[in-house]
Amino acid sequence: ETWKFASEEDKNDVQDIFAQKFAEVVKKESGGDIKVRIYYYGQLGTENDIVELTSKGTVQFVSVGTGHLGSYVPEVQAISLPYLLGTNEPVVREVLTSSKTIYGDLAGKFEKVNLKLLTMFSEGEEVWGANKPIRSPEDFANHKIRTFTSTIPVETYRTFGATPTPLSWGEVYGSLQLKTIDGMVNPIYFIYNAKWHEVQTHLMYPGQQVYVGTVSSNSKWFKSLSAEKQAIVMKAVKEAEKAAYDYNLSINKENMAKIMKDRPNMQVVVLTEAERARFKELSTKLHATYFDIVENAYKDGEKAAARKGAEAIISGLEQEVKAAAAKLAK
Amino acid sequence: MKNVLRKVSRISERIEEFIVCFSIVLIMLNSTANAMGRYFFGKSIFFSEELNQFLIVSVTFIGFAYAVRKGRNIRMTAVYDSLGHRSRKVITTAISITTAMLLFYLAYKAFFYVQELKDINRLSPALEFPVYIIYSIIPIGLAMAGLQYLISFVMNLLHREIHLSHDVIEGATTGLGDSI
Amino acid sequence: MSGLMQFFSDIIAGDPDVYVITFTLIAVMVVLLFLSFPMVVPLAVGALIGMIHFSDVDTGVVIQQMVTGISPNALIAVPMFILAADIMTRGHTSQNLLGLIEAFVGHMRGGLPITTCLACTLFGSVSGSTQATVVSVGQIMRPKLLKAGYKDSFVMALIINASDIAFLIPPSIGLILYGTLANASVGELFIAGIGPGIVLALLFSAYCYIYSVRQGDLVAVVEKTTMAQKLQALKKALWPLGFPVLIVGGIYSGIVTPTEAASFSVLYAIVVECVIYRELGLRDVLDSALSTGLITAVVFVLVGIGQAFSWYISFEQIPQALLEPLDLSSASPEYLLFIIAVTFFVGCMFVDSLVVLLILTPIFMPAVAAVGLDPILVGVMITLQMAVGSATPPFGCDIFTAIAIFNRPYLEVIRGTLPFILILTLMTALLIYFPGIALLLRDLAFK
Ligand code: NA
Ligand code: NA
Repeated sequence: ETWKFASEEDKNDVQDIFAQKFAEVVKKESGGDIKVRIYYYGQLGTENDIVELTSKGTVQFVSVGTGHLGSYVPEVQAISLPYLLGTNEPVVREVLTSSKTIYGDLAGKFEKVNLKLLTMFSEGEEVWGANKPIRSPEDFANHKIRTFTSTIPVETYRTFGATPTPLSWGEVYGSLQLKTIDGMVNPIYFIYNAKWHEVQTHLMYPGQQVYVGTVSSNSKWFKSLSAEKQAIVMKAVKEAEKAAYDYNLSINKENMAKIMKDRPNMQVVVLTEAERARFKELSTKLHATYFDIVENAYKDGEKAAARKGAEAIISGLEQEVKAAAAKLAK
Repeated sequence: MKNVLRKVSRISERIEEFIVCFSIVLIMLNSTANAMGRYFFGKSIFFSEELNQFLIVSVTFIGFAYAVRKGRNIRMTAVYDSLGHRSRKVITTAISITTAMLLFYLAYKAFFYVQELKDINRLSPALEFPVYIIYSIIPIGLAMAGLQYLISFVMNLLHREIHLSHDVIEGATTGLGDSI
Repeated sequence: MSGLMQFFSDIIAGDPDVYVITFTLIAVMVVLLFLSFPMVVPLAVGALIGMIHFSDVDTGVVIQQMVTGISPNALIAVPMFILAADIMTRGHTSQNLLGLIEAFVGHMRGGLPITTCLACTLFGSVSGSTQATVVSVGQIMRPKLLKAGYKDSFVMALIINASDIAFLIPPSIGLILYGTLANASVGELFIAGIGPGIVLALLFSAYCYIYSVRQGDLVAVVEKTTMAQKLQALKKALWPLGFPVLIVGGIYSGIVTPTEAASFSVLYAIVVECVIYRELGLRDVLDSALSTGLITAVVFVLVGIGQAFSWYISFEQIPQALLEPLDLSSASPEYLLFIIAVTFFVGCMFVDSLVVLLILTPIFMPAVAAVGLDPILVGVMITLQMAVGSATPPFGCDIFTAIAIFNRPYLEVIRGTLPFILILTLMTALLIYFPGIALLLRDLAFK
């Protein structure tokens, strides 16, 4: 049989490395009986399309940036909040793979749209691109930064003092080149692939957050699988997550080196702890935004409970990040 | 009875015209306001793209029903043009009924698609607005277009002329130019 | 004979063999097309037969993909330029622009079509949208060309094909998308596209000249104008000339994106016609908006249903399966480039070019790397084929746009296409044997 796996990214991006490893393990473990067919960026439509196709069972697995799931599972946008999970890769990984909040509370919300949350992984720190150094909210004044058309990212940069400018990615290169917008934000590996480093002079590491990919499967379909096949899926997910983690570390490093080779004058700014602290303080205001978004998605009678649930998710994640940091510090 | 139908047809035509006009003008205002806001005041309309997408969906599907009503559709008429009146009449009649059926089928599928979006409560990312409300226009537009083909099928059965739609007769000119 | 019987029984049984699927879909679509069904039917039926008969996919995806097909933000430019052009042709703007062109080139053989060709090239490069170019330049220039005695089939083919040069000259969404898919520098691609774009514009212009000379007696040439008349025409065209200035200036100064520039051109057209010339009123603008909506809908429904059809092709990975037997990684660079050109050409005949790009690029990239072809050259070649494809029957966005906007039959719109396709084929050959056309400028700028 053939299982179908749709990813929002291109061949050899982090999500695809996950998909390739997943396919390899499934094939091996099933003795060649099960093939996994991978679809890349745009081949089956938009991010929304592939999520819906998985929910309906036309494809069995889907991998998208967590932000894109917000239209279906509003609670998941907690993962997109700045300075919540942080950018310490081993700590983030510990939380993303073993969090009770994610695999308990959040996974339950996935079930409502017939998705089974399988795993989450980092694709690298979100880096700000600009044509000047940005170290403080004041530096963001009159700075038009391209974001996704989604409330949390838009509000994040508004809170930081910038002018968030949602723009579809096809227009970003030209708009940066002609200074219609001033900057953008993305992991390094993607900035290099999209060639946006060609039209920016500064790259800032704010320690704000990582881009998180989420893999889910059709829940009813998964439940209908035999115990052996379910075990194959879980084993493949585990190995693929490891492959994606290793690749995330190496590809971001490699592509940073390529950027410096292409543009030796590129200025790289790593914000100091004090500088980060100011943004971090601002970011706590966004928790209320998050609660509002979740509340808004529910009917009148359910709003209060939904808000409570969202608050529990944030405090749960905050504790787990602390615990993971303490555990790994040992 | 016939007058009632005619009246319903006129009213629905006016509604289609209004939705199409309104959406086109709003796209223009929305895009220009967004650019001016960004350039002069450093403020973008964060939902600008999303609003345009909604508007283009309504232009496309309501405009499609309107275009069918006006007998405007893209066809490859190379073979058709070389045939006599009788054969053309047979073909046009057969095409109107099969196209009507196809569009009703698509409207039916669209209805269920919208229902699914409602069930999973998909919200638009910027406005956090239930997407199914906007997309409800899709089954409506497809069904209206199907209805137009069904009406032209009936007209072709009842009359000698070849009806491309209720109002548009092949060979006659309309306000919008020759039908194609 | 029994092989043939087997093949047909496979079709009936819905055997998901890629050759069976491909044959069935093409056959059904071509038959429905020739029976003069509305174009939306062959595409919808093709997609539905695939999904239901061969693949057991829930057909709700047709609706989902129709929405996806019409959702890209860049498409907003299409109705906006249609509206701007419509307002300008209803009012005085386009007449005054044409007066200017006639005053300067009206007396030259081929002056009008060559001007049309260059106007399409320039407008297309700036707006980045081939459909918008067909509408804007076509709407204004076509009546004049017809009045001068040029055949409509020539005029429409010229407008459609010259508009497609827009793909090659930056900003070009095709080149940006390729750059990301193939991991090639967008800056280099932009520069490399310019050379072939210019050569193509020159070749088209040369054809226009030859065509005009051969049609000598039929095509009217006006008397040469005096300097005073030229100045008079220029003065009259001053406000209309603000239109290209606004678009070019607005985009290159970074004030607006190309998509937004389209909306501003509407605003400008309204201001010039309603406030300055006082030629049109609110009623006319609303009439324009209605006819714009109608044309947009006719084209976009096809874009949407085309996306649904492409989705099915992509879902069954038909192109991958058809290309598998070719051993590409040991091919010679010229041969590989040739295969790429042919594949994209054929793909773009049936499916929207950006979709073809998304499906086929990942398939070819390993072979491109193995053979050592310059990915920039490959990108330009692919973009050239996308340009050809948008103007090549049966499925071509620009053909649909022309049919809708000029209100002419399908066959007449494509009748004059052949010479242009031949020129584009010549261009393809030139690019294979003289890659310098694309790479020279790039090397000067980057190496
Ligand atoms: Na262009
Ligand atoms: Na084509």
